[in-house]
Amino acid sequence: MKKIFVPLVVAATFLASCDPAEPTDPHEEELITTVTVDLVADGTSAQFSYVDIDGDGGNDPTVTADNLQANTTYTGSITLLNESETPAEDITAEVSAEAVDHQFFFAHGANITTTYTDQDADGNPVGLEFTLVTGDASSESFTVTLRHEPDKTGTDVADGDITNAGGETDIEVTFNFDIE
Amino acid sequence: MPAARLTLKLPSTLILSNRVYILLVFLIGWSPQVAAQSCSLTLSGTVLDEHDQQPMSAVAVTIIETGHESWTDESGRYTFTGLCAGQYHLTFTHIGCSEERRSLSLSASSTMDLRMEHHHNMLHEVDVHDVHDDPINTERISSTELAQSSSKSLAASIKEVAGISLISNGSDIGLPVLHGMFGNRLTLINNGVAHTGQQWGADHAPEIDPNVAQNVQVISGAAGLRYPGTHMGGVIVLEPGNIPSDPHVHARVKNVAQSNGRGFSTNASVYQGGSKTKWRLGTTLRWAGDRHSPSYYLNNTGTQQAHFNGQLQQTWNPRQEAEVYYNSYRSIFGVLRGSHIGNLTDLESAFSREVPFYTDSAFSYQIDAPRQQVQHHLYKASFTQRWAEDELKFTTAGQSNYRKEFDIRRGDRSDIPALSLVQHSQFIELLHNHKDHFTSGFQFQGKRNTNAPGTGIRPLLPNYTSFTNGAFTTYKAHWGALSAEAALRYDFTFRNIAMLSTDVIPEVLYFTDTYHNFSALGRITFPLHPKWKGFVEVGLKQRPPEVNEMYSFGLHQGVSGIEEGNLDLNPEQGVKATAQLRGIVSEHIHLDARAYLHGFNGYVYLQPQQEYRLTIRGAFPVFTYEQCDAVLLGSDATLRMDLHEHWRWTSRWSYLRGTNLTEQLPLNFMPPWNAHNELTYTVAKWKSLRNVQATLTHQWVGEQLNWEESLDFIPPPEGYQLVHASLSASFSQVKTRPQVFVRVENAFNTTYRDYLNRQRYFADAVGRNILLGVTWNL
Repeated sequence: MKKIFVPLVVAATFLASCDPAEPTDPHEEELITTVTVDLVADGTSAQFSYVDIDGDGGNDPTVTADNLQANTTYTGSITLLNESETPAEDITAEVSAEAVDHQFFFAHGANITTTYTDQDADGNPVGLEFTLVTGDASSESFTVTLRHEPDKTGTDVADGDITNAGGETDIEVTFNFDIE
Repeated sequence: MPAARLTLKLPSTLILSNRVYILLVFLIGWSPQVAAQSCSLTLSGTVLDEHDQQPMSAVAVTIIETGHESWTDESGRYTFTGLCAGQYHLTFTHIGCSEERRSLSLSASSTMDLRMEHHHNMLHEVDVHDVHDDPINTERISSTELAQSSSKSLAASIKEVAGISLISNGSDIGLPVLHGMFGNRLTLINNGVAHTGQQWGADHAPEIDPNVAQNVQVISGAAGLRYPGTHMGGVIVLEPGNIPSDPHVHARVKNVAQSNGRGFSTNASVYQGGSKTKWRLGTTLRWAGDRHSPSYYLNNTGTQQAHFNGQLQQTWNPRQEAEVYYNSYRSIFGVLRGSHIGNLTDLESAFSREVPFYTDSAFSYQIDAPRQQVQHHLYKASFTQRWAEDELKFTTAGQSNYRKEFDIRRGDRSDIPALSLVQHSQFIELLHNHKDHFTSGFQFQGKRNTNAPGTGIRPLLPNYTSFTNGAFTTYKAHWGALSAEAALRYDFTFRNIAMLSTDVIPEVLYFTDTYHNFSALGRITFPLHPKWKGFVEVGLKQRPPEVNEMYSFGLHQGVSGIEEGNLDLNPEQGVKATAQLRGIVSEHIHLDARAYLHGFNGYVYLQPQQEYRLTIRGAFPVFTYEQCDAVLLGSDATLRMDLHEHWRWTSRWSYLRGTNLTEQLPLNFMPPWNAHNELTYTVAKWKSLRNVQATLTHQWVGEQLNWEESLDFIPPPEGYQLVHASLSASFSQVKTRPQVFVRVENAFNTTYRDYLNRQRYFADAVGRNILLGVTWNL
């Protein structure tokens, strides 16, 4: 039926057939579907999690955040996964292997302080490990940003100020919770 | 005995020189003259204007072998005396004309007459053809102008025509815009074949080396109906030009060096004419490193290119001829490192920078990600058969296009393309011409577009095949000085689409589209006065929505936005009405002015959505393809004044305003007001220099005021003014007749940003650039 549309004179050596090539699943290995922030203190722990298995668009992401205790020092760590693949891929290891090209930034209110506790090969912070100190009870919003190829030597970048970091954002997720 | 020694040595010298001689004959067709017995022969002739058969004075006629020169007088006559018998090459040069070249074997006193392509209403480089020699609304750019643009992109080299602008991403990636039409709405015809590639992106330059085009014709009206493609009344026709009839092997080498980017380009072509067989081979190599804005290097903005073309024409008799043509194009384009960004926050932080991120204080030729690697191949064969009043031409062509775009990626993936598209296409055309009154034809175009697997990224475009069968007919008639043209076109398009769903484990979805499109044109040319002519034209053109407009889905990294196609799109229809006035105000003042109104029903455009899409990488703006009623209203004019024997002033103006009538909003990406003023001083002969020309150009580009905040991330940049200067001359006494030029662009190193250059979001445009070029003819 389709053949009638192709004129008789066609010596279509270039076009092997009328049907397009079958597209294949690209397996987006780079995709980050899951960001987990684990916060551990003496006798207590909390977890923030952002999960968007089907990537951009489609279903809405699932965002959860436990409340934190007031005036507590937490040890924080970040885990990144690609759960669209089976088994899930560990993106944390990829970031860790390219630590000099990555840095996390934390945006939050004055009632929280964060400090980097890890370093890349050049002695600059990465942010996969950090400490988080809470103040008095309040409502908080905490944004985690991961920049790829930031300018780690930019003004105040090593202190966690994103203003002069540049680079390309790989992650930017916000968690809302209360300090109790 | 020195004489004896000499005779002993001579043979080896002779053998060597024979080798050199054979080599020279092979390479450049040069042959020394054998001394003839009698050196008293005369060669004379008359040079006439090709069009009105009037004699042409001040044409320089040069015999390359002897260096003799003769200038034609008022009656177009030239004479050489005291010539020996032998083989000679003659060149005919006249300001504003392409050089003509003839060869002859002189054994007795002879005459040689020539008709030169010369136009009285020629507007400097841009040659606006008269209606008698060109049936449609066209403008041409001369090869001398193109020679100076040898080191530029195709789009940059043709932007000197009134009404043409350039949408670009940096210095080398540029696509032409004609009366607001670009990409899918503008078709390029390369040596008779509709160019197929990835025309959908505003950062995808047409994959054509400007050096293959000796003639560039811009067809702005709906008159381009004879050509296939999805154009909406804009066609750019590139022709490699005729191979000179000279039966010897000749070569031409064009070299251009440029200071900004420390770039170099060289183009060499070798050709041989003849009564039956003609051939030409050509190659272009071009490279440049990081460009420099007036105050900093634009990191990663280099380019590397290598192109090749070959052409063979065979004439069996005056009624039958054939041509085969091959053209390959390979380019790597660096994209400004600081323009690679993630989400909306990154984009905003990039806007706030005076100097872009990643600016390096050192120059480099290195091209890293982000970059584009593009390859294009064109194969063509055509056959023409003529009868007394009819001509039949059959053309078939194949094209292959490979586009790879590399982004900065995690985990050593920067060397894996983020986008990798392969397109093969086939073109077949059968044309019938009858007495220059009636042309009709059939055209088939098939395309197969495939995402090469292995990118690790969900493709923005689906895989598809597309087939278009088109038929057209044009008719023109003259009643005295009044003439009329009519054209009709029908296209049937059939497409198969196979795309991935957005599920975690994607499924393949299949779609089929069919479209019937009609186009029509009417045009009347009438004399207003012996020296003034008017044109009125109305054309209707339809095009089916393109695959990217219907099916794209995902992040378009180049524009930091999520693009979503729209399956409900209908064909786009445009009606363009053009009125043009062309004439001679006085003997020294020529004017060509045009106004047009282009109305659209179902104009397809990218509409920014109200809400940002929240992803794990932050917020992204979402753009969907929508349709609206739109109108483009524009005007352009060229005025030429011959101020004095040597001085000429040319002024070009363009204005365009695009409106989305449905939303009462301006249209995006419309060129702002601009003007181009040029003062030229020309001397035909000064000592041993010929065609000495000095040019001072002032370029003014206004601010795009027709703009609304919801349409763009940041307001359009301010207007700017640039000054360029150039000096060119040829040395006719030297055997290789070198033509030399020096050109300074942006002479005052002005800092500016151009509305139509996407790099403006991140960095200033390039600063001063000094170009030095030499062309040799061998």
